[in-house]
Amino acid sequence: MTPKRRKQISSADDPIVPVTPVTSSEPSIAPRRSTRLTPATPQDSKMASLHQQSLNFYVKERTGASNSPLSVLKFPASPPVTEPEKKRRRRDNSTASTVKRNDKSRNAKRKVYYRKVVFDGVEFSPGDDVYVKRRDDASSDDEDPEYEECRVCFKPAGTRIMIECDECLNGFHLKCLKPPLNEVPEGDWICNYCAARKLGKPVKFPEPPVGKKMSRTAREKLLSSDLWAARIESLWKDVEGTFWWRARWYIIPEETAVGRQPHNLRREVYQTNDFADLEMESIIRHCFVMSPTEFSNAGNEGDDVFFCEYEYDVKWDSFKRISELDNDKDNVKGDDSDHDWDSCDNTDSRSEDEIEYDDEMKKSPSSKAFSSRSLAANSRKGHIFGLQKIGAKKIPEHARSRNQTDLERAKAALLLATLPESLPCRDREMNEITTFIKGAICDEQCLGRCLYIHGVPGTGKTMSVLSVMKNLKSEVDQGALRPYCFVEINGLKLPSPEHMYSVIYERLSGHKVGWKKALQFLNERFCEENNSVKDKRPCILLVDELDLLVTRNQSMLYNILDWPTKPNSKLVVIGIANTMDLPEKLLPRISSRMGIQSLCFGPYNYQQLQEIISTRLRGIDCFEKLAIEFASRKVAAVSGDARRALEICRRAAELADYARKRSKKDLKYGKIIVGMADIEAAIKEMFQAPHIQVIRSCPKLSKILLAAMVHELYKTGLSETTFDKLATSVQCFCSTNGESFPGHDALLKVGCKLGECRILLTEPGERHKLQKLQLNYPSDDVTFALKECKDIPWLAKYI
Amino acid sequence: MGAANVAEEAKRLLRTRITDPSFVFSFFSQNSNSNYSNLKYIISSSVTETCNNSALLMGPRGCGKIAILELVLEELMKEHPGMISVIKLNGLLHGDSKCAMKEIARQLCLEHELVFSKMASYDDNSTFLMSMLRECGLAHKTLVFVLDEFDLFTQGKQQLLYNLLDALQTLTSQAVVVGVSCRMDADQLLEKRVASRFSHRKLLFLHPSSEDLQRLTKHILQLSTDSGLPNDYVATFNTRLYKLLADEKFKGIIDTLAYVDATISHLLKFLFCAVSLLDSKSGILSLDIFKSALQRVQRQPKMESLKDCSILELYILVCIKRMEAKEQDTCNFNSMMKEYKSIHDTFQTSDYYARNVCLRAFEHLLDQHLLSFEDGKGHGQSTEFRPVKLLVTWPELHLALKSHRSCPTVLHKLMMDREG
Repeated sequence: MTPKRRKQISSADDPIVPVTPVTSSEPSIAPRRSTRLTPATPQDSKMASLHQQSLNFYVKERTGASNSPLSVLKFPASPPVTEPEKKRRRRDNSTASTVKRNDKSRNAKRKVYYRKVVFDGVEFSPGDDVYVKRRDDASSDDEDPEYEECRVCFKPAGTRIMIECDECLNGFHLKCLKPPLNEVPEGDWICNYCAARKLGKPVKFPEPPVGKKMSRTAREKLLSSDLWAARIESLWKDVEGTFWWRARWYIIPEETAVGRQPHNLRREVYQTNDFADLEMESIIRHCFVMSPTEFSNAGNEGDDVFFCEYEYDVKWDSFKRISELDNDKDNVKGDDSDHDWDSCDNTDSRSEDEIEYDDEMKKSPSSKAFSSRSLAANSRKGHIFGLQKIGAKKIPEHARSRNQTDLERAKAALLLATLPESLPCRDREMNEITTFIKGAICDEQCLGRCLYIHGVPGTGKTMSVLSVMKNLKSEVDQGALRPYCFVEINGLKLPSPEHMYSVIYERLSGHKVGWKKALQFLNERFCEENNSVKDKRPCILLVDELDLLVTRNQSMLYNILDWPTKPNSKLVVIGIANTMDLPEKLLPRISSRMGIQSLCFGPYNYQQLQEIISTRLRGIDCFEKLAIEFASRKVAAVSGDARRALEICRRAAELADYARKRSKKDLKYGKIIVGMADIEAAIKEMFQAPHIQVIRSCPKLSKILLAAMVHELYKTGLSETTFDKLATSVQCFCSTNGESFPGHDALLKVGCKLGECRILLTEPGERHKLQKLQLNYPSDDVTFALKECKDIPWLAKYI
Repeated sequence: MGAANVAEEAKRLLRTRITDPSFVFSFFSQNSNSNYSNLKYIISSSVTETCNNSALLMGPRGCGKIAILELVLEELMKEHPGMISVIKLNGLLHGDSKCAMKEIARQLCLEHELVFSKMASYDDNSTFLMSMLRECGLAHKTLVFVLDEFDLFTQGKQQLLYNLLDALQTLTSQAVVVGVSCRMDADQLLEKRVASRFSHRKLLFLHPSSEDLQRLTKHILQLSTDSGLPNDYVATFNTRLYKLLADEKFKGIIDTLAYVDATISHLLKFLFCAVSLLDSKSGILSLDIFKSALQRVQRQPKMESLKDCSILELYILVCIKRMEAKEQDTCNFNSMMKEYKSIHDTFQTSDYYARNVCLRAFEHLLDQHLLSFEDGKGHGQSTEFRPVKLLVTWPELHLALKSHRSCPTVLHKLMMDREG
């Protein structure tokens, strides 16, 4: 799983074209630059102190930059005086090709935002990652070799294949190595120099030929903090016509508070929550910062590839994983139609405001800071303020270990939370849902469209609907389908059934109102003939756990199911619940509106369960086939609940892993296979009721009491007995068998303890003699548990 | 240091040990296949492998469920400082989902130094919880929810459990829900949709065996040389202890203790009693100490209050017993007085008291719960007319009469009368 990269720069016409606005495009090797020639890697201690310094400078400067960008950004050397004229013209050309965005923020009058800006022939758009010039480094950024040279022969890659060392990131021609390699090896590769250094030998890299100075690539400069990298958040033109962009900085591990941690990758950077507004001139060229999955898939992107998994909070010095789901969402939004762009824009500008506000907070005297602190995190307003605080001070080692064992991968794949790529065994149902929704949306007059989905828990009801919606969403994105809005509510997640209205209204309109008001608005929207609602899109309402919305007069359900029957409502309702007979339980006027369209998710049979488990475990070979079958047969026989089947397998894997860890043997050679025994243990834990074990471990007096209960039950035939009678027979048992009888009070206590464990059902102990007792489990279970009791062999004759 | 001082010091040390659950239960952590290591594995795998989990700890009260859990959490917090935050809920306090959600938010805020608002609604609190789960998951922090008295969370719609367990189905969160319950049927109480989301990992805490109790006693009482006590004292103390542990009589005492109640908490109570009885002069354990401790632990409250009864109260009890034996359907103060009078007439006893005196005695018995009103009948009537029942069994009453200091013989006779 190690994300690694083999560099295979094959020819000079590599797709990455370095364009800085001012530098000449050919890579000139400047002999005059000699100050920072030493390779960045070997001297860490010296670097660290340097970085510490630079960090201080860096933070200070950036906060300043975000407030008054103009004052900070001076680029002494780079832009020739004649350039701006040309550039401005070019920019004017570029405006034509950009898409204007409406912006409702307060900056709207001054700024014009663009989705794409062509600057010096290179397109930039929000979301791109770029190198940024560093002010104090102005002297050295006028040359920028974009091709890395072989570390041995100091010639560029040319047509020959180069390989990158995973340790020092230097490039080597395959042929220049000793011994030479014929092809790029699989797995991690470390060059001879690093290998030698690791062994503690003194290492001397080959000296560059005379007359040729070593030049550093942008990547090297970045990793030694001579350059910055940032992500373009937005692009705009201000009143004077200059182009600006908002940068979200990346930071290298050395610049964080904890410094480089041993598990950091060489090409790792962190995203920060630090922003700055900069002029376009500051951009050098594109680079590529990738998420872990992108990084492991990346092959031939060149040298400017970086790995970013964490976000670094500059205020709190803490780390946080970047959720990949979010990135997906962003991408989807980015590709959306104009309309969607608008909505996304709103959120953008809001967060922007928030940030500016934040900055003001930082500057302003304590009175304002105090007001921000007094905002509670759990109230609606406080969410933004509090939660940034949460973050790890240090990324834990275990989170980064990439060599998972098969078992660990299996466990991760079997997690309920893991979303499988495909949902096997529910094709028919999903098709039905798809046709239902499509039919409803495409129809101009979608009247009375309701679908009731029922089935026992764990049969994939919600998951199927959600995956159908995901598919439809991608169809909408492709333009094959009319856009619609999708509202999902869950009956059990609402504080009370009435809250449903406000939740639906909030999802539809984005405003939060009380439920009565919301009901009124919703009625207006769905019921009135010629309503003035702008949003004419059909609305799909998914109500999970529908049965929880059944109130005394069932008005919730009536409303939900009545709206679709109105001519202009354009509402489609999908209800999900466990019970099959929910429509029958409802009032007739509701069940008639519910219609006849219902879909049943039957419990999975064992083949289906087996398929579900094996699709999840595809590519991971650590389960016996029979074991999977055994687990699925067992679950299919009991409930057909897929969750349960997955949990059994996960538990079995856990047990196997646990056994391995306990034995502490180094099992790198022998592979662990989860077998029948593990599955059986997991099933036993899950399904076996624990009362028999508890009865067996009970103190003696409890056992005698239970035996007396059973005895009493057989004698009288009544399941219920009183303490009075029980005490008499216990006393009788004890005296005939030579056990001591510790007294009624002790016996009462024992009875109450058993009652606490619900082995007996008892009345409160204060009723003493009159207390009624009853076995909570079948008497056979008790008999079975007590039959072969070693402490009190004589019990057997009474039961 | 004087001898008395040393003994006092030893006593103090032993008492601290007994009252410190983490010391007592560290005994169980040495065993490799114990609940301790199982639980630790489950929680730590969630910490290190970024996954969600849920488990249920079941077992009779006093077997150390919470203690073991605390021990595990403490250990893991040491291993992963700052990565685990624990939220503790108790079914007795937070059985209502609204209140529970608020408490969760409060504890989360406290843990992460955020500002908490009491005014936040259920909705706000649950969104807060969801975003916290997400943020903590992203920061590799594990949230551990401990639900004590798990069975009480299953009352009502089980909204809290559904929400918590459903939140565990998302990939970004990293949380463990640990339920603790003494009910054996706790997992059966879950609603179907909640049960389906629950992982059904169950850890069963059983009564320790008598060997375990013996070893635990040794673990607790044994003094070590680095405890700051004089070496020769420690040596004598320990040799004496080993001798005691090997003694059959001592084993007998432990067995008698375990005969009624074999839980760890009961043993601890017993040992605490024994240590408190330690002679502060010699400071050496002896069999007598344990014997008297056993007597103190195994008390018979009903029996003792019977023994303290006055003669008149005994008369009243016997009268009611006789009437119950005759199977008269109801018995109240007036009918009791009739019986009392008839006894007095037949046997010409010396102690006959006026009606109001008898009423006082009768009320006293009611207060002591030796008698009780029959439920459901005659509410609102005055004491004299409400039907009552005897709350002690006849054999108990008999025994009490026998062991009473000054019980008149008539009563014995009356008692034997009907039993035949």
